[in-house]
Amino acid sequence: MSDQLAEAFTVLPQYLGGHMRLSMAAIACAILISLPLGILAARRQWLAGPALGIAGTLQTIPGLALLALMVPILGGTIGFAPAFVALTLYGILPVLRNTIVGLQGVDPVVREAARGVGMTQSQSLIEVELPLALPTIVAGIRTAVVWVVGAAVLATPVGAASLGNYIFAGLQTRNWTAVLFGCVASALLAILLDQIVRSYEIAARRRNRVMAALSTLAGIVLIGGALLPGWLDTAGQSTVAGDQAEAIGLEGRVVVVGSKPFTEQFILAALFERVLEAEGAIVRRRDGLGSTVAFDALASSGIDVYADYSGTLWANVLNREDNPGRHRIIAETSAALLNDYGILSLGSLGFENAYGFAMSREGADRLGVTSIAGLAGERVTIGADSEFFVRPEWTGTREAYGLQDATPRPMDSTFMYGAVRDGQVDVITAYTTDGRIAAYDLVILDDPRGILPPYDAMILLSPEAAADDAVAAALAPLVNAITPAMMREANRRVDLEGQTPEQAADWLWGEIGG
Amino acid sequence: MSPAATAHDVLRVEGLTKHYPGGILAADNVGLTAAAGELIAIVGESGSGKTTTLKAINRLIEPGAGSILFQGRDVMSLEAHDLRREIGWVMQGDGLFPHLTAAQNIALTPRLLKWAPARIAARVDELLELVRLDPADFRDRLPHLMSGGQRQRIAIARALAAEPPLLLLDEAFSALDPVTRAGLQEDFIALQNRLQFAAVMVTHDMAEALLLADRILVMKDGRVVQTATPSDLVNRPADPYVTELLAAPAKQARAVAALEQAP
Repeated sequence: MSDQLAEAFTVLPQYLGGHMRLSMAAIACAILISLPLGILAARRQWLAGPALGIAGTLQTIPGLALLALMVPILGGTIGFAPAFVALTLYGILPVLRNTIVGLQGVDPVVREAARGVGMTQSQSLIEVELPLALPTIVAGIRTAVVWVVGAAVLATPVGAASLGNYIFAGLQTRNWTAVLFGCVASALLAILLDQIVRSYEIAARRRNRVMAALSTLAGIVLIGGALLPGWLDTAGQSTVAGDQAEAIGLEGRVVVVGSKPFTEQFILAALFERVLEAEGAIVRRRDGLGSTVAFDALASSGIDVYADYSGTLWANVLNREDNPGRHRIIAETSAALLNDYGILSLGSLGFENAYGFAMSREGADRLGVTSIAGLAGERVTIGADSEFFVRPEWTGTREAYGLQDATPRPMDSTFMYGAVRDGQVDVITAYTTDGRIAAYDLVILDDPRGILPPYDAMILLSPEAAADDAVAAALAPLVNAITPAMMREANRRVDLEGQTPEQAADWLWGEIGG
Repeated sequence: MSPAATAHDVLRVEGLTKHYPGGILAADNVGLTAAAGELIAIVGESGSGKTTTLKAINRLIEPGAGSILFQGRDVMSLEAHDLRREIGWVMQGDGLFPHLTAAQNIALTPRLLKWAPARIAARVDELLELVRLDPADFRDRLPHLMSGGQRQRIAIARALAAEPPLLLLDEAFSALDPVTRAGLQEDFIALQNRLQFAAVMVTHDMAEALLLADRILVMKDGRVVQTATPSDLVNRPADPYVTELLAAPAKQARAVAALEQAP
């Protein structure tokens, strides 16, 4: 437990810095857009309706979806840009709405008095209307601060470092310390920023210079703190590269390693990182990317390398539903990725992580089933990650084995093993390399008709990384190096023993003989 | 120090006509003059066009046809905000800025005219004395910490701050209770006698107009029904509507007189 806490603190500067850079830039930009727009709209009613309508509609889009949508909209760019744009849009509504409401709420008598004493329109705005609307506008800014800082944890799946990295990775690796740490850190940050804005408002209203200076100072410290780790980060990494002057091939080159949001992916990303760093590369991680986000980012060279699974690519990228066998799928997928996207597949890591229909031994014995065919017509509940139920594998299995009476229960993959062990669901679509299959004594049902395609883990390189042979050469020792048993053990160490993905990757590297 | 008192009228309005969108005729060929030291009252019911006429003078409402001469200059030849800085404005309620202290409220127009800070500070104290409020006590007070009568005094001080030759008052005393109102009216007249500014006041209260004004314009449906001194108006009403307006204060006066004679 204290190990996990110490681990959490070591990456805090990076995650907190990323989180603050992202949310403060988004808040500042949201204010820069919505304050002038609000001032304009407060005077022109025809503008107020549409402006509030659009901002309000953006607000109703769930945060995660808004962030994820920005990736394709920005042409497959991941990282800071899509998160920044989405969070800015998110922050616009409260400031815009409160600016309009605040200005329109100024007593017309007071506005007429401003004209009556000889103020111009802009003097009236700056000296009378804005000061009187200030408390309402500040309330809007405070709402925006809390929303944006809270929503910035959702930047992790689109590849921007944030406090969400704790939460998403922690959720997948069952590291509840990390999850709590991320939640508490982002809540504290939101409260802190909110209080700074509030004290600024009070200072402005009371014309208290000391208080204003203190709030400014606090703001500068925070912003400076947000920018500083970024500097240290870069500085530290170039030093590391300098130290390894004798290393060959990737000296000083930045390689971005991506991962999808589950344990095995985090371990593989950590493994790639240490192999690449051994060759002198500067590695940046983009952990916990959404499944399609990861692929799109690779195709546009937003990330350079990640591992994906043949069956996933077969269905999602090649849009194929047939099953010509393991080796043909790898070959055809590799050919298609290279031809259509310029993505280079280095081949299989050596293990398969398939979807397998799994039941508790007790449950399987009770129904007397050993294969999926035995579930035909049974009223069972099936737990799976939400992705599975929209994939062709599910419709294919359902048709082939007559599972029409089964009830799908989408859930986070980290919870499904416990759920089937405890009988909360009857069947799950387990990942066959998960250490919990053995630990919980789960039974994998046969797939006699071969409906579920193979899922060989493949190392994929972006077009940019593929152009230079050095990256491929560095990663080549990993091809066919990991047996299913080794991967299961590595996963088990994280999911059940509370090791970090880095520790598990170290163990794997030792087993490989690196 | 006192506003320029010239032989000319400070204000001359001729043939003022104002249509609102929708064809409503708010002012129809209105004429009036005000000389230095003179108080003109415009009396009428709501919708009679009295407020339109008043606000056209400092262009809070853009005048339509006709001419408005302020110190011999056509008001349309000036920037509206420059014009308003030369004309004092006291409005219904008080129209004080709630986020500014009494001194800051009073200082507004001089500040817009870029007076030196020392001159403004001296002027603020002088004005507080003029409206009979203790500068030490009131200078730094926010409007919500004053009574209605005190706020209206600050509003008058604010209107007089830049030494305007003309003051416009829109129902300036009507929101006050009768005792406060009477005190303020008296002080206002004393102030005008001393400073000799011209004033145009709009009121729906005929008794107020009779007590304060040098001349009264009675307006109905956008037209001036009669312009006369208070005594001419009472003794020679030119229109049944004027008689009707005069009936209410006369009846009140008779009722009070009757009670006084009772044993």
